[in-house]
Amino acid sequence: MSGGTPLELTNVQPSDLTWISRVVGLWQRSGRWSFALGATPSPTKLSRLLWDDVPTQQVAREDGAVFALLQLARPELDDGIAKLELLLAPDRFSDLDPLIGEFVARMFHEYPLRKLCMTAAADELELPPCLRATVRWAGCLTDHRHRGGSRYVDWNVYEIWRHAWFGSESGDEAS
Amino acid sequence: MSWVPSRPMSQTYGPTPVHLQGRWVVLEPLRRDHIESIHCILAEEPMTLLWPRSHMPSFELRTLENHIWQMATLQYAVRERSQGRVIGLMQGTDESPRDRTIGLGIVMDSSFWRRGWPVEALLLFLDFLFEVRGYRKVYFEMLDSTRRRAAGILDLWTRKEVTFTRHHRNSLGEYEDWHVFSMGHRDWDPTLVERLGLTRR
Repeated sequence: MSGGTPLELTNVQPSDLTWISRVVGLWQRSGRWSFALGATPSPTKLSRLLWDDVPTQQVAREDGAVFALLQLARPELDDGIAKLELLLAPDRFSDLDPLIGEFVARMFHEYPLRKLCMTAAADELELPPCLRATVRWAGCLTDHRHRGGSRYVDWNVYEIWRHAWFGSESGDEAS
Repeated sequence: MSWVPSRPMSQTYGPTPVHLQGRWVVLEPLRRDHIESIHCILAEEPMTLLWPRSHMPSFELRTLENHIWQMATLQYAVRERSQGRVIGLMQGTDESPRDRTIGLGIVMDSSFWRRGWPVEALLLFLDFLFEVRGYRKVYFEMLDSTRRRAAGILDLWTRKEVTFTRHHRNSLGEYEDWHVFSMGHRDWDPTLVERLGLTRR
């Protein structure tokens, strides 16, 4: 942890669109924030990704500077599933790990979720340690996403089960 | 000065509709008059082979119609040639022109599916997606119970890439695994349609 100011998760503000537009395509990211090579998403599109079908999201800040966006997106509460979406500064992993852990724990507490799902291009996201310990790799869509010329990259799919996160016995109950 | 068209107004503009014809079935671009037959198929039994979503909308006709139109821009009704009945629906969903991938949805009256020959509709549609539309990869998503019913065909043609465990509830309220299979263009025989005497025009 750098500096003396504690890192914190705070609510997303409309002004957060400004830094998102700067880092999108540069930071580590999950599927929601993955764009085609050379794409220049409009402010409207970025705003939709920030707000549409996202019941909960937070940003990690230190001294007002933001270095992560954490989202719970596209919930399907009938089946107790939702997507975890991340936009992470690549040089802050050690600082981010406890905050991601806090966010995931909070989502399992506040929503009747059995599991979280996450997708990411193989070259766009390195799993943070707190997720690596509990995530289940569900498979890989091979050569899924175009990366320029004739090159395509794999798309990894992950599951984070509630019972695995809290270390309890397996089950489908969202409690 | 008044505007004068440079071409006769009867000339068709835009892409020509495609009709896919086999020995037993014809695939027609989806029209509103097809929807009621598809509604009857879905209402009589929950037979939705490879339907992309496990949750069915309301069976009210207009609600279902809106749902179908919103699902995809590439949809063909399957009509059997002997009596002209609509027996199913082929859909291309989640299209990604950039990645050249597409998902496949199928609705089929199960009383016909078990006769075998409706697989011709699937062959015609896959050929259309690979050889005409130029998709590189086709995805098939389904509940585990559907996978077990279609196991023979899937094992021949596709590759299982992802399994979401205990992902969606089935019609009995039980959680089932949700599988994602794929077929690549390099796995497809471009001469198959011709060799089977089917027509793409």
